[in-house]
Amino acid sequence: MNDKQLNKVRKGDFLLLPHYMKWAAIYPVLCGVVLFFFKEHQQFLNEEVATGMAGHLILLGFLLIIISRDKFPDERLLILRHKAMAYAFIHGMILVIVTPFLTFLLGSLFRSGTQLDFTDYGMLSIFLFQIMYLINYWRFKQEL
Amino acid sequence: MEKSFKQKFCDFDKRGLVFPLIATRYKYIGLAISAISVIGLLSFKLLEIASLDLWSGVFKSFILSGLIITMLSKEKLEDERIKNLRFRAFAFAFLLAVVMIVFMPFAALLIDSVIGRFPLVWEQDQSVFYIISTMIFFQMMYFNIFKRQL
Repeated sequence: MNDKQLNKVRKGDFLLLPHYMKWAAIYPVLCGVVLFFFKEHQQFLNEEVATGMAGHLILLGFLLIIISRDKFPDERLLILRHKAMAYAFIHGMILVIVTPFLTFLLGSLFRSGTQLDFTDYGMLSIFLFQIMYLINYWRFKQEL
Repeated sequence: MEKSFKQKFCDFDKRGLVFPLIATRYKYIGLAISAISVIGLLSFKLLEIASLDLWSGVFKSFILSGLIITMLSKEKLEDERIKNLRFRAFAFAFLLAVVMIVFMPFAALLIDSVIGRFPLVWEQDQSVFYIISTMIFFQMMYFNIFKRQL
């Protein structure tokens, strides 16, 4: 790896896709939604695999939106992108950890005598992280 | 003049309260919480306590909370450069963890179908503990790597 490539990796610019991939992201999301609603009407995959795959296709679409470059990328937007990811990381993390904990505490206060459970978000947490990132990045760009 | 909600939120953010960093001493407190929770989880498993699923969920939450406290504690010398490195490490961790978690089940499914392990099953839905601990691991690793490169 030469110095130029190493510098690119250090800046965090190496994972980003071209801008048009933002539009290509519509296809996995559409495929995911169609597969989710029509999983009973196909014979290729069983229902469990179809549900899991549909969810992951939607996540893949959002991931493509996240990692595709802006129309006019520059150093300032890259810093904003990193900042938005950091904010999404923290806020998403607090959300997915604190909410089940609060549910558990409130459940133990108000539902005495019945079986308590500790449910978490599972793969939905990744979706929450992605949404948090998109909101934060949009917010930072508005503030520019 | 009365400030709008958006302006109030921006002021709040500029004061660094949306992304709060806590004092350096909390690094050790966070580590202690995580270590005690790990010991609690292991002892509950060894003693085979009833409703282990419930308690393992609670202990795992405490482990993650401790690690988050450690991750959010300030460095001894916190400046703008360290802050940018922190953001970059968060960004790397976020992206790599999401890429890994999204692509792993597809890769597993592909391998299953290539080697002919039918019927195909979707076994790769990960728990929050796995997802968050992966992200925290990546963040801590990259932050330390970037600090060494300074």
